[in-house]
This record gives sequence, C-alpha cells and structure tokens, in this order.
Amino acid sequence: MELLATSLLNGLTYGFLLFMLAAGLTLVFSLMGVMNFAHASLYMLGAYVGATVAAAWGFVAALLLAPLLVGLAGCALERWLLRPLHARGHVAELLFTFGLAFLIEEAVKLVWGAGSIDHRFPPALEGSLFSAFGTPYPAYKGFMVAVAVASLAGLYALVAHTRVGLVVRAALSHPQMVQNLGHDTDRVFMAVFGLGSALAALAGVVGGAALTTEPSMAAQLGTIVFVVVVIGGLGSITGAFLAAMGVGVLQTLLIAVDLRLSQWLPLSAWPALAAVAELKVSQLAPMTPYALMVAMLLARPRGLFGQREA
Amino acid sequence: MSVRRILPWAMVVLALMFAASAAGGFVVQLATQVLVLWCFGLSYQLLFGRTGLLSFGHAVSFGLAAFGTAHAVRSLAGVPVYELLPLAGAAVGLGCGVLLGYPVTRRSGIAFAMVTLGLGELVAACFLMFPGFFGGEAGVTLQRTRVPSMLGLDLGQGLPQLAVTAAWTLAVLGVVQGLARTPFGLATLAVRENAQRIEFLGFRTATVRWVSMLVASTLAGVAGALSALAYEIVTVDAVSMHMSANVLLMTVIGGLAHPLGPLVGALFLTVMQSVVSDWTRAWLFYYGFVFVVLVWLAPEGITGLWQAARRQRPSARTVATVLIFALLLVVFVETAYQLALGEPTRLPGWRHFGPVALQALLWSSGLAVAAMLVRGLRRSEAPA
Amino acid sequence: MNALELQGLHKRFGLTEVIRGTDLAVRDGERLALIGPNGAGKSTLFALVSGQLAPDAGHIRLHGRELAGRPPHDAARAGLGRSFQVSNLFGGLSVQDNLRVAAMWSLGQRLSLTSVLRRHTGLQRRVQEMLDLLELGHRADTLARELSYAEQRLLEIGLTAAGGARCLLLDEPTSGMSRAETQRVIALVRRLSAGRTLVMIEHDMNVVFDLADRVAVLVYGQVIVVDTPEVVRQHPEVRAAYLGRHAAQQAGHA
Repeated sequence: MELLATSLLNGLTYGFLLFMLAAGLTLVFSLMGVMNFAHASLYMLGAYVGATVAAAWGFVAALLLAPLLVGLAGCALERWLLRPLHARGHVAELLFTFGLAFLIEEAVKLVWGAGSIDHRFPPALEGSLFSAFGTPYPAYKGFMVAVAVASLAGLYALVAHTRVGLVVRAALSHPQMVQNLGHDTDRVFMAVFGLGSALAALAGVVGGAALTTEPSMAAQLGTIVFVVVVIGGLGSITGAFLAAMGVGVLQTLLIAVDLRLSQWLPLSAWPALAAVAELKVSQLAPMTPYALMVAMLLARPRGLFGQREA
Repeated sequence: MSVRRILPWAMVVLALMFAASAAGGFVVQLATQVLVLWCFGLSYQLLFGRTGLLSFGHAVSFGLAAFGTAHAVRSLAGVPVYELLPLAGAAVGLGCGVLLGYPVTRRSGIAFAMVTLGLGELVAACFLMFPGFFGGEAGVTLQRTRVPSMLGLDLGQGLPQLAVTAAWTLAVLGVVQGLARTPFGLATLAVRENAQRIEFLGFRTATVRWVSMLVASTLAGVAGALSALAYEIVTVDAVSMHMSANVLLMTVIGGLAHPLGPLVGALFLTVMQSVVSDWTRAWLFYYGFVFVVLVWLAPEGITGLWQAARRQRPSARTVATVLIFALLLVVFVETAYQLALGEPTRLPGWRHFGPVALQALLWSSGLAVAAMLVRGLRRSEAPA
Repeated sequence: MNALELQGLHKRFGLTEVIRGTDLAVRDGERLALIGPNGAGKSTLFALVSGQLAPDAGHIRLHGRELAGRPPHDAARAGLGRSFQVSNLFGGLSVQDNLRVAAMWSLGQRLSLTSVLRRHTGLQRRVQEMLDLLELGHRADTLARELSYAEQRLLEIGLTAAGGARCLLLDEPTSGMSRAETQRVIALVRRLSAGRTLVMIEHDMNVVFDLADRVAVLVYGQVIVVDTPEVVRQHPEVRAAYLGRHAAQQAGHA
C-alpha cells in the first residue's frame, strides 16, 4: 500500500515534469505542424546553462536566466533556421530538427565535457516536505511541482485571457483563416516557439537538478515526451496533461512493482516464452510507453483528445 | 537489371578491392564496412529517397536479420552454403516488412516517422525478453568459417570475405537500379510527389508504400546478414536507434537520389570515424554539422551537389566562401575543445597555425561586427 | 443508358448542409456543363462522385456500379477521371512521367516489380498520343512544376484522360486562361470527349455554349434545372439565382 502511494506521488511528480516539456512541444506541433525533435535538447540546454548560472549567481538566477536565454535562442532558431524550411514540408523540418538535436548534444559535450556535471538544488530545498506513509517526500520534488504548476498556470492565463492567446487558440484549429484575417502569424509562431523553448529550459533547470545533468539526458527524455504528445493528441493541452500524468504514473508504478509476469499471466503453457514469463514487470517499464505510442498511432492517430491528425 | 549496366560498377569495385588488398588487412576490413553500409544505405534510399517515407526504425529489419543470420550460421554448421547466407537475412527482412509494414504504412509523414521511432525503441527494449535470440547484453557471436564456402574460398581471410560482401552489395545495387525502371519504381516517385493525386489514377497509396517497405526491409535484411558475417558478432546495437539514425544521417549526407549517395555517405562516415577521430574529439560535431547544413542548404546531398557542379561550375567566390567558412568553424571548434578539455587537439598543423588562426578569427569577427554596426547606423541616419 | 446517376445525395459539413438532395442523370456520351453561383456545391459534388468525400445519404452510380462512399481509387478503376480546379500534378516528375503514371493502371502496368516500363509499347503509344493531343511534345522532359500556368492546366486535363476513363469530370478547365488559351482548351476537350461522357464545371458561358449538350444548374446544393443551354439561359429561376429575384424580374421586363 505504501509502495503504491509513494509510487503514485513520484509518478505524479515525474508527470508534471513531462507535462512541462509536452505542453511546449504540443503547442508548437499543433500550431506550426513542426515536430521539434530538438525540444528535449532545449531542455538539456536549460539544465546546463542553469547549472553554470547557478554556480556563479545562485539557483534563483538560474531559474530566471536560463529560460530567458534559451527562449531567446528558440526565437532566433524559429525565425532564421526553421521558418525557411516551412515551404519544404514537415518531413524536411523534422529532419532538420533531428540533426539539430544531434548537433546540440555534441556541442554540449564540447563545452561542458562528456560526463555529468554537478547541478543540484540549493540546500534550502534538501529537506523533506512531508511524510506520506512513512516515506519522506523531498522538498525539492515539491518545488518542482510548484514550478510546473506555476509556469503552466501562467501559460494557461496567457492563452486563455490575452489577445495573443486568442490568436493562438484560433490558429490551433484554423491556421489559414487566422492568417487571412491579417494577424501576423509569423510573429505569433516565433513567440510560441520561444515560449515553448523557455518552458523546456525551465523544466531543464529543475529536472536536471532532480535527475542528472548529462549529455544523454535529452535522448533519454526526448522519446518519452514524444510518446506523451502523441498519446495526448495534437492541439490539446489537456490531452498532454492527462497523457503526461498517465505515462509518468504508469512508468513509475511498473518500475516499483516487484512482480514477475508469470504471476499475472498464464504463460507457462508456452515454453518458448519461458524467458518472457520470468521477466519482472519492472523490466517491461522501458518499453511500455513505446508500445502505447505505436498502438495509439495505428489505432487513432489523433490521440486521445487531438483535433487534427498528424 | 541487365548485366551490362552493372559491369562498370563491378569494375570499379574490383579495382578498389585490389587496391585494398595491397594496402593491408585493416583497409580490407574498412572496405568491407563501407560496402555493408552502402548496402544498408541503398535499402534506405528506396524507402526515404524514392518513396518519401522517413523512417527512424530501419535498423529493425537490419538488426533482426543480423541476429537471424548469426543463428543460421550456428545451425547450418558444416553445410556448404556460405555464399547464400544473406538470403536468410533477406527472409528475416521480408518478414519484418510483412508484419510491421502493413499497419505502419497506412500512416505517412510525421505519423509514420513517429511510429517507426516507437517500433524501433520497442524492439530494442525487448532484447532482454528473448535472450535466446538476442543473446542478452553480450550479443550473439558466430564463426563464419563454420559454414563452408560453396566456391571453396577460405573465408577466414579478409579478401575472400570482402569479395562475397562486394558481390552481394552489387546484387542489391542491381536490384535497386532495376526497380527504378519498373512501374513500381515510377509509382513510388509519384507517391512521394503527390500521394493524393495518384489515388485518383487507380493506385492505392498505402499499397505502394507497403510494397516499398517490403522491398526496403528485404534489402536491409541482406545488409544485416552481411554485417553479421563481416564482424562475427551481433549486439543489440544493431537494432538500436543509434543504427537507425546512422543510416539516416549517412544516406542524407551522401545524397538521396543517386545510387552512389549511400557509398559517399558511408565513405564520409568511415573516414570521420577512423581517421578524423584520431585527430580531434570534435569529429561527431563536424559530422552532425555537415548533416544539418546539407539538410538546410543542399538537401540533395553531396552527390547532388556534385551533379549540380557538373552542370554549372560554381563560382570561385562560392568555393572560397565555403572553404573560409569551414576553416573558421574548425578553428573555433578546436579552440573551444581545447579550452574545455585542457588538452591540445591533435589536428595536423594546429600547433603551428592554430593560435594565429584564432587571433585572426577573433580580430576579423570583431571587425565584421563593427562594420555591420556602422553600416546599420549609417542607414538609419540616412534621409528616408 | 445513363453513364452517371446521382440520386438523393446529401452531404453536410458540421451544421451546414452543402448538398441537399441532388438528383442528376448524365446520358452516355453527352457533354454536360455544371453551373451555378459560388458556394452552390459544385466542387463538393465532384468530390463526392470521385470518392474524395463520402455522402451522408444517396446513391452514385457509374455505368450501373454503385460508387457512393467508395475510395477514390475505386472510382478511378471503374473508369472515372477527375481533374482539379487547382492543378494537382506530380511536380518533380517530367511531363512524360506524369502521363505515364496516369495511364499505367488502366494499361495493366501496376505494381510490377519486374517489367521494364520503357519497353511497354502500349504505354509508350498512349503517352505519345496524349503528348500530341495536348501539344506538349516539346516539353516532354520538362518537370511539371517548371511548366507555365496554362501548360499545367493542360497537363492537368491530360492526367485525367490519359487512363482512358470513360467518364471525365473536369473542374473549371479554363479558369485563369486568356481567350486564345481558352480556345485551345475547348478544342482539346472536344477531341478528348469524343466517345466519352463529360461533366464540366464552368463559369465561362462561352465555353458552356460552345461545348455543352446540356446544362445542369446547381443552386444551394440542389439541381434546379437540366436542359439545353438555350432553355437554361431563359429560365427564370436560373436568372433569379444568379441575379437576385428583383433584378431577374427587371431583366425579364427589359
């Protein structure tokens, strides 16, 4: 029981981190049709830049400065590199961002080295926030969730209550019409891309401190974020939220559960599957999100709540 | 698929093989590696270059075929069928295409790319579930001499192995060239150009894509088999995202349209991996940089650029700009590495020219920025 | 025998019903012009017949075969050719290859992995015929995206007919063309439609009068009249639809 509760808590925390990343990605994808393969790389940049700033000026400075810098870089990226590729189609954009992700990873190794670097929360957050079922819930995790909730509340307020947000919402489902109405969609796209990048960087500052800050962090988290976006559906922040929570909790639960498959499924009938039967559920955890994504793409490409097809 | 067309290629490959054998065992090994990658790249060219299907999971067919061949060698010990072993790989590849191809090719564009990504990761994540097939962390080893040659060759030696690899690669090249001249070949191009319109002309786009996937997977299977036989070991890396990314990078860099494209890409990768990596730690960065620049500026790849250069010779100014830019990049990157790692790079000539070049770079970029600022100020002050 | 029969077709997008109970019978071998004010649903009708959209209700019969709700390749294989208002070509392929793709299926050269395309004399002959008809022989190796606007519209028609379709649907074949180019297209269409059935969406009344045996008028998703061009021109309801009821009455008195 307490294992379940702790896993649930951890899973939700992880889910919030995933949501911070997925929200930016799905917004960019729905708006511009660009599946930004380098989104997780921006997360990584946020972590590294944040670590460097934190070492010089403290954690709070990192929280403010890293998203700002990476957000500006994102704007520049969209404006000068991505926009000319729109005419060549989505596949060209995907190919480019894929190469970019590769390049950013190498550049990070170039500047900061190939190993992990020291990036952690300030001592103020190292205690425990509360105890649930005998297990302490670390303060830094609570902080992570707070940052996620705050930034997403800000995003929501922006999208739901400002004029720019209105344009974004309209462009989510009818991009051509918005352009015909005379709105400067180019500016809106650049701003949204920058915002998504900043959000990813912010997630990086907290995520990199909670997990490790190393060059492979983008590749590890990147594909999971794709899974979340695909499952949740395009054009839907709600979908991204539910999918992020779902995937986060599912993965954490599966890793925590110490059961073998044979205890659940009657696999003993097939000797060829003996190795499969002996597998622990926790060993299946890595492949579950991919299985879900593949299933979703084959059955319902719109995802759970999407309005447009990929 | 006439012999006459393959003959010039065969002559070139034969000449290269003799050169390789003269150069020594290491070069023979490299040559085998390049040929295997070329074969893999040709299959990817069919899928992505011709049919427009960007796959992030092409290594699945390749890797599963490699494993399948490794097991085939184990079970066929003593049976003189060595030269036919790649057929086992082809069979596994075909199986992958049939099973995975049908549901997957009902999607296209980004959805297709994502599904192949997911499938690739899924298969790679499965490797612990089937240790009998995948051999766990250590992979599966094989001894190719266990299966005697049909032609009496001594396959323990590098050169006969290279010959067999070359023969099969040329066969795959022949298949690909031949298919380009069939109705199927034209249909794949049409699907890439306008998937909607071809439906109004009687074709089902999904079917064309599926057949394309079947053929590409089969040919990738041949490449996988050649890989297993060449290296005598297959690990989970063969089905990994890393391998899928590699064939993508390589084929795009080399060129998606020309059959020499994957060869150029393979040569580029091999040179970077084996030679440049000794000089500088930044070789992977350069590799990625070349890819990104090509995707952005010249999506037709190196072979495409070469063909364009043959039609219209590039101006001296263009060539000079490219060279200067490349030089500046190398100086910048090597200096950054030196600063970060604290050890000097082993790039030839750096010791003498490096610091000077860096100073020149800093001065010139400072001057350039200043000049741009002055010009910008002048413009804003000019009467409207 | 009717080449094409539409019975009770209905199609709605969201809350708007665009096709509201359309009935139409196109006789075998005739040339029918489909006219009507903007937004009447003409292109939607073409989309329904060619399988691009599925109707909510009703029947579409091509030479007796039910086509409603079937995908585009079924309609194409049944002998229906459809052109697009905005040229929908294979941009990166040459004019010759464009026509080859269009003619391949009907001539049996489908997804064969072994037969060599260039050796198929029947296909070569058909492509050459089309090139001559379209007067695009001198542009045979030019990429489709490098053609001029008028040449692209011609190729568009060529793609529709190259497969030997018995029933052609042409969507505004002369849109955006000069007088001279329009004349060229009229001549082309006349030759192409010999022995075939043709349904043509047109706004240019000169073309309609030149080519059409009958005219069908579509207003608000319903066919209000089908008759010869002369009768349709005088028809009060048609005038009302185009000019407005008041203006039509005035015009009638003039």
